[in-house]
Amino acid sequence: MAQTIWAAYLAPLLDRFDLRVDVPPVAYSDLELPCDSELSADVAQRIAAARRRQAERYAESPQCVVNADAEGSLLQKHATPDAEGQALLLEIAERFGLTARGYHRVMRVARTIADLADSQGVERAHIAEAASFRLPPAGPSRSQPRNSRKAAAAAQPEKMAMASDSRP
Amino acid sequence: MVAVTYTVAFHGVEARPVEVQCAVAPGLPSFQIGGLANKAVSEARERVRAALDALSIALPSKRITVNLSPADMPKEGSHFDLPIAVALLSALGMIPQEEIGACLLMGELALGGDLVQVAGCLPAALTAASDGRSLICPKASGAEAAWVEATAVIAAPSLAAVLHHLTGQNLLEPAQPGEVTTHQSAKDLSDIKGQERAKRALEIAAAGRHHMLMVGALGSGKSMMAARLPGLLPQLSPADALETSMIHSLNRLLDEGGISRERPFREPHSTASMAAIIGGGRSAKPGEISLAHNGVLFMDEFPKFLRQVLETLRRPIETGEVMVARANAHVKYPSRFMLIAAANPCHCGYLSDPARACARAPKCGADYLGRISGPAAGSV
Repeated sequence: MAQTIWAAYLAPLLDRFDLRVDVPPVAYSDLELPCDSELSADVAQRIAAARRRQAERYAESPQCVVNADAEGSLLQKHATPDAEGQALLLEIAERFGLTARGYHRVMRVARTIADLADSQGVERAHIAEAASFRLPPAGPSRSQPRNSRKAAAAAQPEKMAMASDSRP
Repeated sequence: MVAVTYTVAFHGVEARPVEVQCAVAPGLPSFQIGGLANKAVSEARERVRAALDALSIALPSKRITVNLSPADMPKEGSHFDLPIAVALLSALGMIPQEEIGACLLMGELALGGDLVQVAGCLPAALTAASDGRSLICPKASGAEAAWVEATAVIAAPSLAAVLHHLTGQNLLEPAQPGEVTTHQSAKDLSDIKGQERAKRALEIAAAGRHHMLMVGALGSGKSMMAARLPGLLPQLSPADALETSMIHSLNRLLDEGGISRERPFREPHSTASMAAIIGGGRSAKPGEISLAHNGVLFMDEFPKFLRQVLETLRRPIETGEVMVARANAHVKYPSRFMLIAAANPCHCGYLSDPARACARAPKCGADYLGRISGPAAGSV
């Protein structure tokens, strides 16, 4: 049961990653392609612009410099999505059983995506992209049925019963 | 006669003022150092004796007592050599007491009398500034300490130079602040072929300082991706650069003689110990997560790190600071880093590549990834 021992301490840690992404092997034929993708300098400019927007927004709260630092009312005030976005966020949260932390982390990432797009408010598309980075990466474990909250709740009493049985 | 000089003792990134008192009195010849000094401080005796000998100054056949006050604060490090030597010279009447009252001294003495670089000159300079004193430190540490503009920093090459400076025979010039020029990184994002989605994630992570996890086969470019990150992040603001450099100063990482505006990029190996990553050791030194403050912490082979390390990582990720508690020290270090973690899909690393997956194929992945996405499935 080594797996469950790992699970017990890694699950809360994994919940703290805002972005999870698959890095598949590159096809050999792609390696021959010319280097025509974006230069670091161009991307860095967009990042700097997004950071400037964050600095302006959080100018009055010294504890908060970037979106990742935003908490509580500050996060509510600046990262609450529009009605459509809110509906999508709720749907995703229910379907995948986001933790409260996960829910807020999606909001933060969506805020950053909106900043990169130079958008005042957080919209549905931003929430969708943020949530897409939160779903588990592809791999063999994907085939396992994802626990819904109901299933987890149903499994809980059983576990507890087993635990109490094992006691002398 | 009793002479007094000033120096500092370190408690985390904080440099606390310490008074070095030296009394030369009649009695059996001896040289004692008191005031909760550790081994490195006690050994100062021999270094000071040899360095004075090199200046052709013989210790008098009297009872020499040095006290480091406050005497109940533990003191570590070799930077007490210079303040002890100067206090002794002053007690012998060779340096006027009024000269040394206005400066804070730190530096290790070589047996020949040269001053050797010590850790923590930058935080010491901040303390000197708040106490209204100037700082005298080894030449090699001058560029780093001079960053604190509120105080004059004198960087001396040897004990003889300090003696001549304090007696007014040959005044030393204040040190100039040094900045390590930011060398434009040769690593560019355009080197990476494909992986558009991962690049986009990298951009978002950099823009909002979000933590990121990459899962992918060996050789798919995870480390390459992470190494491009410093080139994407904006430069540190002067205040942040100072904050980060204070921690680097404690670990003697500023030996290039100045402060860098580039964001730190730390990549500890997965076998690194708890003390190396979180901080600790006998004197509760900052670990990798604090050295990555305001920068990037890249953890390759994430599931292979010690369980203890991964568990302890949780709090700093949330709070941006870490508490290192040891029997004799209880220190708080800032650690607001951006965590980039990478993991293989299975032990051998080729699971997602059907041509190379090992014979144990789907099971080996389940064993390994069970650590990663199995539990995550429930919490996502």
